Amino acid sequence: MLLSTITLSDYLILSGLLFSIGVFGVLTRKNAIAVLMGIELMLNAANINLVAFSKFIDTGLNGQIFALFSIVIAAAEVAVALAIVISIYKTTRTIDLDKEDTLKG
Amino acid sequence: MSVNSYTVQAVFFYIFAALIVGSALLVVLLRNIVRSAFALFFTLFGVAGIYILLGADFVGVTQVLIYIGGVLILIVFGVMLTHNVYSVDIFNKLGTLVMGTVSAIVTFTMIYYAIKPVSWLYIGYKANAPTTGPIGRELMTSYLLPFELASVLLVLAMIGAAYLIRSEVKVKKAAGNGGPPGERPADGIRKEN
Repeated sequence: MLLSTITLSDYLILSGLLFSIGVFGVLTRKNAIAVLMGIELMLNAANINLVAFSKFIDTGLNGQIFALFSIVIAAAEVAVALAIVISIYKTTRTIDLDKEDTLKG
Repeated sequence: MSVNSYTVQAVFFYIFAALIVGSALLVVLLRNIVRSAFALFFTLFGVAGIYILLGADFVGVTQVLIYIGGVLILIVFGVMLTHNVYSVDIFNKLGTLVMGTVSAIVTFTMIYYAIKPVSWLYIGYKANAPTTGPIGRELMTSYLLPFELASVLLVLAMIGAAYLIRSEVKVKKAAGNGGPPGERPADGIRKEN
């Protein structure tokens, strides 16, 4: 199987691997910024899917354009998320997610 | 089109795949968050390589510009601005670690068995052509509304991010419970007003 033609499934499995690694990061990390990095990994996995589908089973460029929009939204998301993290840090002096339980009843 | 070019493509695919998976593992496993950020750099570059390999040159360049030039710099800034990161124990308790591993493996198994049996309906070989022109045309015709909405969203996100950080400083000043030890430029600007 190795070094044969690379098909759509190979790209999808690669993106599945990347997504699972991102899930692991999001679930296990305590640092808010590290969790954000896990989310970035998952977003990238989704983008690989979009571009791969665009290459193999799309007649136009729809998949690539979706990936572009997804990248734009990821940039906006990171800006807002980091602003939230920094403003939380300024009030509570920590970005340890286990200690951010102000809303707990 | 020959077998040879497919082999070259396969070699590059496996190089990029190894780069992505290896550095992504480093991103989630390294204890030092600054090193995690640098590992993320390699992951994002590998993903850009995969895009180029898939004939998506414009998306690949966008990935380099926005993710590596923008998002990663923002993350490094976030790391530097919230810097008792070194002392914070990055990982959760062992139970959470086990649960995270199990859920990641289950997720991957699910994805794998969903993908494997499918026989995709390929549209045939698609030559790698420059995509910048066609993408620009599509964005200005079929995708004009989402395109404009995306620009509005970016402005909103920018204003929102600036507002979030600044308003926090103002509240803190009114409450007077002491600022962070290192004075940041944003604080200085705010206090001069």
